[in-house]
Amino acid sequence: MANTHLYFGIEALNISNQQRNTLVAELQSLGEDNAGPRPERRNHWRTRLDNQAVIFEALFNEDHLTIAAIKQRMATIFGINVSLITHSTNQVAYGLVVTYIRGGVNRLRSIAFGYDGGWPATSVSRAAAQAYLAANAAEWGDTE
Amino acid sequence: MLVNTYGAVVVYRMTDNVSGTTIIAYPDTAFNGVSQGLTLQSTVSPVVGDSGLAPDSDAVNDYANILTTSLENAFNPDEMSLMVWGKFNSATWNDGSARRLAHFTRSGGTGWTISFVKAATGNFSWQRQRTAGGIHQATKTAPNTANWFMATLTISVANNRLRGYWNDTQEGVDATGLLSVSGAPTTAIVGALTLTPTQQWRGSFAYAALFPGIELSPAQVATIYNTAVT
Repeated sequence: MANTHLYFGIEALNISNQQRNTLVAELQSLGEDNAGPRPERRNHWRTRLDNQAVIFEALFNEDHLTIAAIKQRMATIFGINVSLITHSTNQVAYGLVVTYIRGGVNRLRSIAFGYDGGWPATSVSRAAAQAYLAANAAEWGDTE
Repeated sequence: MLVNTYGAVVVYRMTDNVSGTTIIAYPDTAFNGVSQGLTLQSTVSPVVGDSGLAPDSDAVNDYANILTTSLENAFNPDEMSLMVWGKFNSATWNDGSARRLAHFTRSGGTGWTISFVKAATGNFSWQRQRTAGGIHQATKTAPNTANWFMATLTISVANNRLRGYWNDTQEGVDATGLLSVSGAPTTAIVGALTLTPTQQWRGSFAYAALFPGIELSPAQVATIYNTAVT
């Protein structure tokens, strides 16, 4: 196990509000330094205005953010076998986007900000999250 | 610091926070706030004699929530001064996003907001809005500085004027036509508009001081700035 101080986002695509809320609550409970002296390493988050996406920042256990780990969480929430969830990946400027699919329908999207094949430095992840938010300011409530 | 001499009921000395999420208030810890995500001990303080380092906000998910019962009881949105030391993490303020150095709201009753805002255009404004009655504000056009600045808002309904000060100088003219409001704040945030959070400050803040019932004079603001800031 290794830890990474990372910005990590999810977007609900076709899941129920209850499933989304359960997943968000589970992700909010992650973090390897939530009682530590550095607030930026404690798990904290920002919610998109439509409540369908969240960006977390924390000192994460990398094992908790793998595609397999996210699939297992979704399978438990859905009450299905994990093998029924597939995925696709897309490397974009902001990081690695993973789309989770069940029954031929996209259910969830995640992004590890700054990831480009390896876990990024925190500053790289932060810059990627900031760039993403700047490009999507209206959806996240940063315009006036 | 001179702010105590001039009647500040509370000063949030964020440079004193070396560990954890407490926003430390002087002289009464009942005013203590809570930070989310701020990087502590990040930026050299603007205040002479303060060896502490100011916290930094990443503008992704950080803020300081200073709403307490003590603040609610002390706040007077009709007669007050509010002072915040801030620093923006770029010499170019026109980053296309609105960002809040401080924001206080009252929902319910005669609702109101008092805000220090960097607009998407890069201008900085001191605002007071009465839900029914419109907005009064002072604006500094495109500060575009990466240096520390001291932003001060004074409000006096009795004297019918709102003033905004950038460091030791009033910006623009008095905004007049102020209407009375009432009620304690229901949100009080340094570094964001909401607790979602949205419109987060991008950079640092070192101190915030509240002077309930006091309209600081131009001379007092200048003295505080010129005495306290390097």
